[in-house]
Amino acid sequence: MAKILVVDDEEHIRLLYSEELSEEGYDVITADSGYKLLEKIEQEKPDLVILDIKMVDYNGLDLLQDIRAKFFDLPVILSTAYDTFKEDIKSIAADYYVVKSFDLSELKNKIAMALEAKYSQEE
Amino acid sequence: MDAEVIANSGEVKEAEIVVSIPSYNGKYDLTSTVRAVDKGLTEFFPSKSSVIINCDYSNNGASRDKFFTTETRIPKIYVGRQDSGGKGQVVRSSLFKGMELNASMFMIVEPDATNLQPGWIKKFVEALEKNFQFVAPLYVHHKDEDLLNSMIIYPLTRALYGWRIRRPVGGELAFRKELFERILEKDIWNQYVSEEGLAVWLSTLAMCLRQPMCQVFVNQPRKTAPKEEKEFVNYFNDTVGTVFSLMESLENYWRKIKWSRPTAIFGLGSDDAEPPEELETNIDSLHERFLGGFRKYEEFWREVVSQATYTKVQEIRNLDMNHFSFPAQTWTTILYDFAIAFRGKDAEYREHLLEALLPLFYGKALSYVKRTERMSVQQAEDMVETECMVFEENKPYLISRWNGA
Repeated sequence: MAKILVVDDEEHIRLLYSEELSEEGYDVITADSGYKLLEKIEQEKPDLVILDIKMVDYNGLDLLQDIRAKFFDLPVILSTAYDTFKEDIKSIAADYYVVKSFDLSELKNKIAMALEAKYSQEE
Repeated sequence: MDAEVIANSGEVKEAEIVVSIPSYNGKYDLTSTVRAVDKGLTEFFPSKSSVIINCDYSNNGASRDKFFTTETRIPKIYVGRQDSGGKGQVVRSSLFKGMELNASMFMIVEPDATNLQPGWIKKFVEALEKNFQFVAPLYVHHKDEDLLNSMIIYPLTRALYGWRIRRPVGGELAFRKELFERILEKDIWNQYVSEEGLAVWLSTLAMCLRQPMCQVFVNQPRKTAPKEEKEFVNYFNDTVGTVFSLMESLENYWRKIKWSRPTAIFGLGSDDAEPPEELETNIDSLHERFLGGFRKYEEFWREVVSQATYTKVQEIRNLDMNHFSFPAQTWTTILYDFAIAFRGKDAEYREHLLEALLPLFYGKALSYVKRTERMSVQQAEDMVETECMVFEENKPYLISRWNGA
């Protein structure tokens, strides 16, 4: 069972993602900010991270750079309310991005693709 | 030994950083490049021992003299080859020389950039110091620049090997000794690599080895003189030939890869990016070259690509300039079909095959240029990314036809 870490400062998003992704068979853990995120990744060893771009105290794109520098092959999906972030070159270090929605089919599809890509390289 | 090596008076015996600059028959004046490399190494890495190697694949002395008369604080070594070989061959010789010097970090600097900055050396070497094993460049670029890379090399290598290295063709590249040793263990080399295909060869093998890789953001355009036609045709054949030939050698790796992964981006700073220079693309010339391909290669194309793709190519032929469009799906299957046709064939057939692909490439390039005409660079990049997804989605087609070939 793949473990997914959801990093988002909005509680209802964390709840929504947790419920729906757990139903899909994923083991979901959450974090409400970017505080000590690298340590959390080190400890929990998730297979994939879903990262909110705009949190109150943290910039998701900066966190993405930190994650990539330390865990070069950990899949990260950016979760965002708007797609204007694409103008920032940092965003290309993400596996995929999804615009936040109550319909999680796009997110589930991207999770499956990112994990498939990771596992295919590990074989 | 067929390589002639002349060390400078520094009698270099060891170096941590090796920067290798290829040259050919004095075509490029290395002076400004060597000075920029020298400044980059002395200013940013004063405590490290470094050497600059000019690897010359003509050995007529023109480049060597220019190289040694350029004053530098970093010691220099000249490696020239008298045998035929090509750029790839002589760069490899210079890398072997670096191995003899027990270097841990290697950088290849192409001499064609007219605006190489010391800061570029800093970014690449710093990325190696952060323990990235392979470092590829991300230059600011015009949306019509280097279409061979955007239309063929990037989408193919990404779909095949599963890493989104935007410029597997270089110009500048850097890597650590450990990675190079593992690349050499693969023992894969051929004529295309020994000519112009070395950068693609290095990038591809680095992707297969799954070592930490990053792309360095160079916030300036890489300014070069446009390639002359003959030079471009050779470059096209060598780079595409390298990708196709590596597909045979690395079949067991790429067949299992699904989708693609990003890399880390290094060298992002607060400095504003310098905009690229204006570039005018002659769309009439691209159209003529595309249509000209039908006169010479129509029957051959029919043999190489599937019937459905061939029918689509005929439809594209009949489109006027205002409505000209080369769909990503058609382009993807053409490239996959050509790669399959390349497999196991002799050199003569392969040469003909690559020549026959060129007019189709011009058609695809025309379609891209027209479609992105009013787009920003970002929008054009998004389109390249979307087309790359078509390559990834159609990989089962490639595998299925590869299995049946």
